[in-house]
Amino acid sequence: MKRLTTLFTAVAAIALFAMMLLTFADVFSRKFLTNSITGAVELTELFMLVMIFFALPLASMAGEHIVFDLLDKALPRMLLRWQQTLSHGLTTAIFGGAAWVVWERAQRTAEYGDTTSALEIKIAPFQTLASVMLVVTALVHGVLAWRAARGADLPQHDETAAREAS
Amino acid sequence: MIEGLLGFGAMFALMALRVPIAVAMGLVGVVGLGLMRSWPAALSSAAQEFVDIGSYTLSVVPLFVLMGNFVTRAGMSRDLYQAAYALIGHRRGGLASSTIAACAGFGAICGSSIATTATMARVAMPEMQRFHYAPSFAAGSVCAGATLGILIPPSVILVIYGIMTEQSIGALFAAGVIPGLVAAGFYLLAASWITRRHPDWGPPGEKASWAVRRKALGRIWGVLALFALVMGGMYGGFFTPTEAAGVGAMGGFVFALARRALTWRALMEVLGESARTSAMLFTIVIGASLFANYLNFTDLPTALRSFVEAMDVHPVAVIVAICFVYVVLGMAMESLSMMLLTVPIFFPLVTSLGFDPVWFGIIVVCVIEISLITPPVGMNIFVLSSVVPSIPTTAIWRGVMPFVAADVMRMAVLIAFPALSLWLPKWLNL
Amino acid sequence: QITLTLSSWVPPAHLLTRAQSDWCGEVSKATSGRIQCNLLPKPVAPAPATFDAVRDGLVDLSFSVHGYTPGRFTMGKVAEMPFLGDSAVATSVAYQRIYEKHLAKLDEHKGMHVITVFTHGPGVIFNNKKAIATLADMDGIKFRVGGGVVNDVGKAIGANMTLKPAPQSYELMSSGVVDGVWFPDESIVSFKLDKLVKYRTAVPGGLYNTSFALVMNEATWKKIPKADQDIINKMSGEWAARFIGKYWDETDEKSRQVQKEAGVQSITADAKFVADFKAKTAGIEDAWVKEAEGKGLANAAAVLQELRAEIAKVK
Ligand code: NA
Ligand code: NA
Repeated sequence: MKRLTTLFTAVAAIALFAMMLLTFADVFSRKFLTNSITGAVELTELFMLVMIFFALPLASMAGEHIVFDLLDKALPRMLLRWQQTLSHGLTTAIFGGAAWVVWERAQRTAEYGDTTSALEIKIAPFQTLASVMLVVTALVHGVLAWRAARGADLPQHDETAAREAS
Repeated sequence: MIEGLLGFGAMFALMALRVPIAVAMGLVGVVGLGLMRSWPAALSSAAQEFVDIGSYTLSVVPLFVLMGNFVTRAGMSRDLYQAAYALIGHRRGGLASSTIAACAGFGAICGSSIATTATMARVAMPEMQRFHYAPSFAAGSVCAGATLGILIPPSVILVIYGIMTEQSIGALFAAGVIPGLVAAGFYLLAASWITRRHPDWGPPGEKASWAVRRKALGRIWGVLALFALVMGGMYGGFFTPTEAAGVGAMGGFVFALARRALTWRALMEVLGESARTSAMLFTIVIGASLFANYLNFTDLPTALRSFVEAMDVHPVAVIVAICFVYVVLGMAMESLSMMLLTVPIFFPLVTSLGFDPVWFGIIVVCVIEISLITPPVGMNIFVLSSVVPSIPTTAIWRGVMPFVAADVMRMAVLIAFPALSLWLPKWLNL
Repeated sequence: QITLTLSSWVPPAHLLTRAQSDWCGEVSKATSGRIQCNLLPKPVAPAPATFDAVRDGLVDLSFSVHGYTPGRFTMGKVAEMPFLGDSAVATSVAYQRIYEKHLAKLDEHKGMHVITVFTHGPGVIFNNKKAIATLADMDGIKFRVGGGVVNDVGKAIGANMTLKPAPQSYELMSSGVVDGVWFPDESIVSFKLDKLVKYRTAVPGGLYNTSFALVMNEATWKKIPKADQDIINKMSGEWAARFIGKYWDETDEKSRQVQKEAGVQSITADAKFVADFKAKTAGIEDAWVKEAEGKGLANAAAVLQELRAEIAKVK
């Protein structure tokens, strides 16, 4: 488990760092070496996909998705437990469904043979990867639902999830 | 109209169930689209939103988040606070004023007000507690000051507004500068009004010698350099606003490195945290896009427009009404989702009334700032109370109220004088 | 009565939105209102995803650019080659004829009913640094270009190119990141570049072009009664290509007026420019011929020749 989180973090981190270096290198090369880096835009887009979908299960695991938690204080423990089970259960289903539709889309993209424009990199494998990571995210919420049903880690009001929305 | 309202109802019901806001929006969007159009169409649009999230224009979001996290790690908020303290800390309420000034400065290199809150709370709260500031006043000044993070460029919220409404991000950033200074001015006035009424709430800090002042001011060159790099590069033709985020992140990285704030482990933490935050933000973007896709098939925006036209009131009255709706919504809604859900409805109305879309962007950011500090759901308040758990939430609520009043006055000024927002972008030919 | 839901990824006032709506309006008139049209206030999908949105029935009718999804449509590139023609009507009508005769059978628009294929007006060189009269004048000028054939063209002549999405053009030019763009005249006004460009070089026949298709959802098409299908068929193909082409030519012309008023200096590339250019870009046509033959188009070189001949014929 720990190893898997480390791996996902590392992949997402490398993708993000690469995006940063690539943008910088692109600007630098255009300004001082007179030419843009071929494929900078499309590589950025692929890095985005990798970064987002590897970080997604991590965000779920860390409880960083924004929820409306005002009622936490008011609800009795028992109800809170069912509410948690239900919401994580539903979220499991939604991410599972998302994984399925993205999988189907990846199949179709493969069939079309879609590539990026300059480097002609196949797009379908990246969508398949996104689909797999959505399955992982669904699994995370499944585990959370199961734990909630057993009364484990119910939300406290002073939850310190880093909500870095705006 | 009915379908649109039903959609909103279902979404709020799901949110009350503690379903993540992003999931609630997305689910209602897909189900609504499935019922109104067809299930294959709805599922296909869901797949599309997921794969389209890897878009070049959106890459600016994680990169600005990353830049904010690097400068936080580099300790630039501490430098800013110490410089402000050295200059004005010895006055009555001086620590609160220093906090506001440092927030404004930090806002110039960080695109998120939540990140600004988190870092300024760590830097400024201990000082204010040491000088026995009233906890509510101290907390209020941090929470309110930190909202400047999304008005003063760079700003993740302005970027997302720009992408949604196809407005120039460069123009939006330029438009935020003067309103940001106006806002900081109003906050300083609010702080001085509070300490005039309650001198014991904000006792003066220590007076710094000129030598100390010079030294403290000398430390903030990094902040100035980074701001100059991003804004100068953007308006000087070196790079686009989209690229500015990458260059800014690179600058933040270099500063964090130079200040020896980055071990391998710290670097991984910064990158991992930024990636998770981005994933969370993008989940909201996906959910809200699905909901907006559904709204697109209902007649809600058009119905609202004909309703307003039928009322035949002065356009400014419409803006005031919209702001009022936002302030009320903003009490209970998370800010990014509020913007993503409402802008598709209000934007066509506002532009059809002849208002400038860039100016409206600034107004939207201002109401979002208010939503960040109004109870019961105010992200800045939550973040502050997680950093300083000893202060009761109700005390923070009380503490931000004078600043909310300042926000309302600022809004009135910005609505009355659009030139405050529009002069700079015009001067820069944007 | 059947209501067609329309989506457009360009702004409401853009000629493509108008042309599409007006075409549907004509259909509505011709069917005595049995077919109705409903244009959505917002696009249902960005441009590259629009063909899929039509295929999956998110909307009934829309249009997109073949080159936005590289790897999927090979045949459209035939209409993107340099020096095809000076009017959108001519290139569109001829392209549609060739499409019907040779390309449709390769079924690249799976799951969609193609109303027509078409092109924009001739691609033009714009910049704000200097008047470009020879190929060498382009040295040191940074251009924004899109993907696809135009990118190959840029590569072939060794231009300094930045590949960025078209809506970023204003930001790229106003911030000085690029000095110029390659666009049809129309885009100068629709992307608000008329105050930013100073020099225009028209290339006889166009520097490049772009291949579009107007498509309807297959299931929606099958729902339409035979009699109305017949009516729509008459208004599809060449009729629709000409219909849309006219909008494009008119808008190009208007844009040239606006440019003139904005003080843009315009020149036309001479024979030497064209010859130099042709020498450098000859490989692009060969590459397409090979690619198209690989995908099952017999005698692709002859098809390209036929397209050029056809363009010359269209009035
Ligand atoms: Na900022
Ligand atoms: Na609030």
